[in-house]
Amino acid sequence: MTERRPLAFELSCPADKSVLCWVRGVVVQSASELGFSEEDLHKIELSVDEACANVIEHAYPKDQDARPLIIRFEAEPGVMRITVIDRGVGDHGRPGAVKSVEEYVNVQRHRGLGTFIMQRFMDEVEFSQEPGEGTRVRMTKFLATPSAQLEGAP
Amino acid sequence: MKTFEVENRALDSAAGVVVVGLSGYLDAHTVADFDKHTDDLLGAGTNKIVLDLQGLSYISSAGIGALMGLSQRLKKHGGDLVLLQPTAKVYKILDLLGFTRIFHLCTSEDEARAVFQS
Repeated sequence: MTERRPLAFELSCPADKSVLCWVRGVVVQSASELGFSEEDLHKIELSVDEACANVIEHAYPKDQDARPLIIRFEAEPGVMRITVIDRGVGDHGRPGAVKSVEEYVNVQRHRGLGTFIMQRFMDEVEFSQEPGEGTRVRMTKFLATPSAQLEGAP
Repeated sequence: MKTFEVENRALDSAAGVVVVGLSGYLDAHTVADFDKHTDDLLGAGTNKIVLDLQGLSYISSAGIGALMGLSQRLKKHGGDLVLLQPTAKVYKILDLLGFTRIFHLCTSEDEARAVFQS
């Protein structure tokens, strides 16, 4: 009988645009092993990318040297949670930047699509911010079929 | 790692259409290269662009925003933007978000050029 157990790991890297490709690769590979469909993998990849890009763009003053970006990955049978964490002070990643693609298209400054994507593509998105603690964006995705489990997870 | 390439693939001087090929990832990291390239084209008077997306493997909101901005700038100058043969993944991302209703999407270069003649 294959042992089934929760999977959890944390990535810690500098909040720099050059890490986006690497983070996407790790997250997609991990989500793929959990049994998510190709379409869900696209949604997860894009949502995590948007959350990380928000941190890189908005969480820290431009001249700050230490700019940690933390991606926490947790999975149990049937559900995966990814939390994107920064230690900055920026009020970023708040929901409701745009309500629809039409609204996004009709504004001259094309901003706010990232948060819209996270909310549209993930099943749950929670934003939290504590003074001096930075911002956390916690995104949850449920497996569409209960048969896909954590078999073979390390 | 920065895996993005943008290059002019063809120029139809008679029709004033430039075909630009993209490959790799168009995300927050690489979008500045795309903006620089298209800024240069607009600066040289180009107002009709076909973006060949056959080699583009990923696009994020930063890339979509750059395409939207480019499309609007070209229209302001009497031209337009056409997206040619996006990969299945990029098409899926655009479609899931509703952008396939907003951009001109074509499956061949001839079809793309015809958009500018209509």
